[in-house]
Amino acid sequence: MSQSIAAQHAPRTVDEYLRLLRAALEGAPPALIQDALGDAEDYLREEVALDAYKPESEVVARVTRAFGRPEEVAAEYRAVEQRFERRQHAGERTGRRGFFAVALDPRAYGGLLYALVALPVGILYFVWVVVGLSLSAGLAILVIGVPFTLLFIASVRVIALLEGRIVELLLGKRMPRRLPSDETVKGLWPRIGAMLRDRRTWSTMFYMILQLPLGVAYFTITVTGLALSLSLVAGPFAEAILDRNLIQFGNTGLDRFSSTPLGMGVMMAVGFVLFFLVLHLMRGLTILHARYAEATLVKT
Amino acid sequence: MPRFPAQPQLFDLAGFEAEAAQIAALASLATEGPATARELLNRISRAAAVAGEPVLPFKHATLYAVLHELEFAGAIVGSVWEGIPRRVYSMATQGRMWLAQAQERWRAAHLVIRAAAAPREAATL
Repeated sequence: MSQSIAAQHAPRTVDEYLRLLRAALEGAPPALIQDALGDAEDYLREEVALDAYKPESEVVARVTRAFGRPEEVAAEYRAVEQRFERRQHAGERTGRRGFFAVALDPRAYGGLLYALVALPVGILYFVWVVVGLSLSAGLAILVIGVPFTLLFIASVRVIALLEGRIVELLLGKRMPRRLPSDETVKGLWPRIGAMLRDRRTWSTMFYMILQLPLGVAYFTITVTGLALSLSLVAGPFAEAILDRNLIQFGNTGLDRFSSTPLGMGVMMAVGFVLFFLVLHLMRGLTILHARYAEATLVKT
Repeated sequence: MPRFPAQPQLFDLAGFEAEAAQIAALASLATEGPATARELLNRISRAAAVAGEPVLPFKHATLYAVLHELEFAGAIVGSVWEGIPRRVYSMATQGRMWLAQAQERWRAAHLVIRAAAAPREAATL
């Protein structure tokens, strides 16, 4: 029965095949859909180009047998995804709930690391996009303007892929494994037009620009939060060991209170809770930033 | 006892295909050197046809999917600057280790299955 249904829906053209595949992948992560569609498109277009003297429907029918029917291909990609699925489980493994359980959550530490990496990488992205865009505009009247713009846009796509790797490693969101397949348009100008019309080119540049202020914010929040919480915890010990008044709030009442045993206890408790608050913040950042990156960097 | 509404899946076909494709890709990369996805498919198909098995035990799409994941897991290395159709994959140390383990596991499983099917001839296998 399923055979006859499949036969009725056997794709005749590459576009139809891709549409069926997209429908079969409904509900999968967008990055997985982008990868699967890109692979299928590359494969099918190459086969059709190799057999240019045969009708497309015939080639697609033959190729579908070797490459797999759209629903089979979708099932395979999902299965492979599950085989290698360790990222999601790593996040969900700790079933314990509660305020302090965050210390066992790998997502919090991934976010922490990402917040520290985001600043230098964000500066790099920002400079790259600003220099690239302004040089592209400035060189547009010269012969080298067009190739330069093409190179710049290509570099933006590769950077989107690399940023995807960072996001996937540290934030645990499935990101694309490959660049989306090249547009089939022929010729230089239509190709540039297609690149400029591609929403993802612009959203990636937007992401790269915004990564500088975001990186500054992430970095500052993380470093301040960690330094403050850890020094609040360690301060009383340091004072006791060195026998010097290290902690100064700039307020006589607070300073006097902080040197009493009760004040020390309160300080350490505040620092302790603050540390976990920072971890919670980092976990929230992990989830939010991963969603934002998926929305801007993945072709939909 | 048949179950309602659906039969349980006795064989994990998709998983089996993925593993077969994965090991075939790793083995081909290890013995014949770096290749693109398409070259890998051609090599594996040719070798399989010579060995008398013209139909691959996995879909071509599976190999593509597996290559992405193998690369991400660090078993193979793909060149970054070429587009996917021209992207060349080569073996990494991690991949060699996995390949050796997987081949040993499959060799053992194959032997056990054959011996179980023909216990009288087991000594000669």
